Amino acid sequence: MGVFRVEYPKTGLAHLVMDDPERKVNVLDEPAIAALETALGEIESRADLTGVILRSGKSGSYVAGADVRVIGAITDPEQVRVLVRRAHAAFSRLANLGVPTVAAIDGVCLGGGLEISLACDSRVAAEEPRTQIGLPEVLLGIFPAFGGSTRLPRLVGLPAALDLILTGRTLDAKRAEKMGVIAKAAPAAWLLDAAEKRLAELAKRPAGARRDRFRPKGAVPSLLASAPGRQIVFQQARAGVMKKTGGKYPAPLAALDVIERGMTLPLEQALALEADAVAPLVTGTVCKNLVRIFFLQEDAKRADVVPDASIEPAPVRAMALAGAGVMGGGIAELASRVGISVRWRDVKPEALQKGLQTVRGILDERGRRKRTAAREKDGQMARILPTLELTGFANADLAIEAVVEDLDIKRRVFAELEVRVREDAILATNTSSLSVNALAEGLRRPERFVGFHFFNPVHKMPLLEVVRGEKTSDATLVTAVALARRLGKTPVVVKDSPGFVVNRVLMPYLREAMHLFEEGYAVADVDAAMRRFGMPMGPFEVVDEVGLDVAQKVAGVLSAAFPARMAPAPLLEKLVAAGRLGRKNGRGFYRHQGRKRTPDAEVPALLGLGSSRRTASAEQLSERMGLAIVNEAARCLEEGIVSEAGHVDLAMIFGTGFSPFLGGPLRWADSLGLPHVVGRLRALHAEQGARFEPCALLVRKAERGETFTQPVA
Amino acid sequence: MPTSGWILSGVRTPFVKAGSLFRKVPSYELGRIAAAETIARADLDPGRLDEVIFGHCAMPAEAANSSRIVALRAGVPERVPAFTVHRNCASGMEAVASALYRIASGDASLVLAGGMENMTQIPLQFVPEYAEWLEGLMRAKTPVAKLGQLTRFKPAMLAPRIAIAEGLTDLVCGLNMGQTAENLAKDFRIGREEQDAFALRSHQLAIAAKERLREEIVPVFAAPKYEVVRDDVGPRDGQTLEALAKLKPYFDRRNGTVTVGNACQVTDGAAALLIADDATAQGWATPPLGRIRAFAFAGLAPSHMGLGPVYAMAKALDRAGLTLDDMDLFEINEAFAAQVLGCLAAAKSDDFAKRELGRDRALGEIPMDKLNVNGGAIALGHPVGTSGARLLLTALHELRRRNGRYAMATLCVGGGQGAAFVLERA
Repeated sequence: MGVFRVEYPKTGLAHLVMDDPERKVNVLDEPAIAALETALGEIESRADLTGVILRSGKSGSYVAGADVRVIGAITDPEQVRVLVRRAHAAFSRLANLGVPTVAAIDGVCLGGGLEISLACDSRVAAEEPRTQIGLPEVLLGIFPAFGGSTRLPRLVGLPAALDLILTGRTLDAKRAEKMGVIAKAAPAAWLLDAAEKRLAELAKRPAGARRDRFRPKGAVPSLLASAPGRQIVFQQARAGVMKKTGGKYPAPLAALDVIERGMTLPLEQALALEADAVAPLVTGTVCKNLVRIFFLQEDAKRADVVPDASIEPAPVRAMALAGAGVMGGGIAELASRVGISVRWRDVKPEALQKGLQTVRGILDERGRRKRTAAREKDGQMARILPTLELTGFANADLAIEAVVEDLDIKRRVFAELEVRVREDAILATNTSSLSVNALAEGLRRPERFVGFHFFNPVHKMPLLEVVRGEKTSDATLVTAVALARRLGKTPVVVKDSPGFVVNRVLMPYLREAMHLFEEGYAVADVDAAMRRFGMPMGPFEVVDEVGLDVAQKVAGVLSAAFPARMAPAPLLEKLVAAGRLGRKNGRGFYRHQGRKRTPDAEVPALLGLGSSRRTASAEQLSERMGLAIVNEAARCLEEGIVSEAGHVDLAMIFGTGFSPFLGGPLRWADSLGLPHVVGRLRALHAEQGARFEPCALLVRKAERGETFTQPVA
Repeated sequence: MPTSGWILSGVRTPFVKAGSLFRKVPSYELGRIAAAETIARADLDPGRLDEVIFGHCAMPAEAANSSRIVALRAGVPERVPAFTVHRNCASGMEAVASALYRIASGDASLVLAGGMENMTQIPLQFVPEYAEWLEGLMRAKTPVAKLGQLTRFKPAMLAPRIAIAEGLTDLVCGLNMGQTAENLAKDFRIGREEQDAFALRSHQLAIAAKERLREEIVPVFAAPKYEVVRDDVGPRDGQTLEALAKLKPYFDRRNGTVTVGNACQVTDGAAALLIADDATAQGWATPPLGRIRAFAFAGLAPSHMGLGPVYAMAKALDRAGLTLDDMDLFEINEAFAAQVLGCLAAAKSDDFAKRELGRDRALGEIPMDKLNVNGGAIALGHPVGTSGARLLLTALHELRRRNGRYAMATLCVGGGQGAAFVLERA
């Protein structure tokens, strides 16, 4: 039995069933295409059929798309082209069957899964939370090339197709129906009935006009469907892509090109365009880097974090939370969202008031976007039980503190918590700068203690550093990581060390930006250089956003730990002393008005720096800052703060927005060539001083011709 | 043996003047806070509960069986059932009584019981004529019939029925609750000055008890701004007799004595109590608040509903095998000053005892130094569904502070009833 089989549940009706016996979810790889060809041969040979339903043999799981591993491994563009053309041919046979065809979608229907469904005349989908319909290829640095870029615009019109293809976003069944991607959403229990009904409806149409075609009604959509209208749509889409990606990602631009040229061509020629354009993307670096990050992320979501895979995470139903600051608010919202009840304690009622307002604010903000019912918001709020007392902690499976960053205060909080929670409860700290081991001292059960470093804003930042202290037990770590995953975060396990990974690697970078500023380069030039490099924000923008006082505090901790590389920055102190705290009070390195920021000429004057500014190329500036990141990232790996290079890359991408197309700092170093990196660091060492001394691991790897990362396979 | 049981612990929200701080906090949300806090403070696994029962008089349209909403939102597992009871002002006590019956039968060993009310959010209702008109419009099939029905609309149909006003008027005797209080004032010749003095006492005692009352109150962070409300809002510091004397009689403008100053305040609030059987109480980690030795509900003429406590006390004391003199403390709900003073007079009257209670001698004297020593509903307010539970909670806390043994908690009930609970400290 292959990946596809044909069933005949009633006279005249065939089910084309995809059900890979080797896998839990269906993916479209070469053997699957081959099996599809065989199955189609069987269907084509039958003269008694009146309709075909395409469905999955796996309950609640449809087709996840092409095999991402193959995309990561394939290196020959011609091989890609041949495979894509073979899929095109098979899908076209499905599209050209003489009888009506309907895809019955229940579960994830992504990428190739949607593309094979688009080959059918019509689609119905299960109205269940598990149903996700979309074309997420751009997120992996490619675009839909199994016919999606050709068939989707023909089905739903240009604007809707571009929306799905360029953003890679997914739709639930209801939204897919509204957009015209599917003809009808129905509960899973009635899905096949809906598919049969659709077949009957299609049978009434003339054979040449069977395929669904959906166009939004109204003057504007029909205007945009005209030839000049299409031109405007493409222009705007291109401008939007350039603005969002800075042209660093070739896939959306290639997709736009293929769609624009293909729309007016016959279907078969348009499909050929897809194959030609996607081949170099699949084999290009950006795709490989993004595929690697995809797998790193999958690993972070699933992989065992301790050698003993038999250790199960303990359930977390209730949480005790101490401290109602900004972080506390974010944590309370996150936990209550996934159904955890939160006993939230602060000594100050005003703090709890602000905290609850923060939570409500996040809920309202999300509610506006997703139109959450008031009922759901109230239900989530009701899971949070604020208190000024030290009571109600015995139900907590985990107690976490988010009080001020002060060793003594945090120790006092843990002393209060530890005697009030159950023996088997886990204690966690949300410290960003203190030592987890130091906090564990004095605890009666240090093995049940762990660091849980959220980033601000908690509800938006995807990374969570799970800090393993010297005494943290495997069981504690497993539970902490499982909770992080349940909260929707990407956990990276790090060893306790000043700044953990993200802040530690970030600091030499920010510090380098300040050196450049002191040397006479303009704040705006330095920031622009890093944005061109691919960072979402420049270093000074980051400091202004985080707050100069906060940055100064973190810098203090790190310069105490690593005085040779991260000397204190006197200019930060001067600016903080002058009352410049960043965006929160309107003045930092920039002057802020709402979301707008303008360079502030007062800043160099305030620091006694001349007003005449030096200039250099963006590459010169970004190289110095980028190499500072690479060197520190390599040190983290060298010191075993993380167990593998991928974890540093993942942490920096998800914690700081480090350019994903570069694959993370260590991947970037590999692509530059480690001997080149060491050579440049040595030159900078001579020119700028000890902070650029290349770390030993970097030198060793360069000498031995090794790399930090491996090609994806 | 009378039906009995234990009150392990409990908590209530502050009582807040209707239309103020809890304007946007529905009754079931107040109930949820009291319930969740009671569970949290007891470090109770809510899965151990056998039932959740709350008293609630004016259930909002969106929250039928509001106790179930309270239970689920307070984190009580779905498999634990919940129901809501209504015995007017005694609803909170009825919830506890319902719990006790389940415990006595052996069907339950641990029950979360309480009361909730948001008198701000009692809805306006439409007059029946409007409902009939709407129904006719929906039934009309043809456009002509529809048009015909439309012409029958009268603007007067949109005049709202104010549910709270109607709810406080007795359908059977046609009297407003305040008017029944006027009846007692006349029967026992309780003058305006006496009533005002009693009201003043309630405020003064409640003000002095602020710190003590915090022991039974959970601070509420009230939506939408989540400002903390720590104390009851009703008690007025600096309340004077002169100010009370200036108020016009509210229910009988010409000859009346009852004013808004010597009647209970209309407030929002909720309370929750953990009710348990002997075995559960004995195994409890902390000392139980106290025991319910016996209780009783009694009926009387709706026009004299304010005397309900006297009838109920007599019954409950008989069941407990105790006398009024055994009580170290009394909590008599202050629906009206005239009504509480009427109860005191009736309790010590041999004549009343013979005529109304079928007893040879008076129930006994209720000394002022044992009565409502932390103020009562005139100062604290009377969220109708909640007060019964609040009286039990307040009485047991005070009994502990006084190191007393027995307390009586009782209230009058609109429609002509009384409820009384005899409490004992463990």
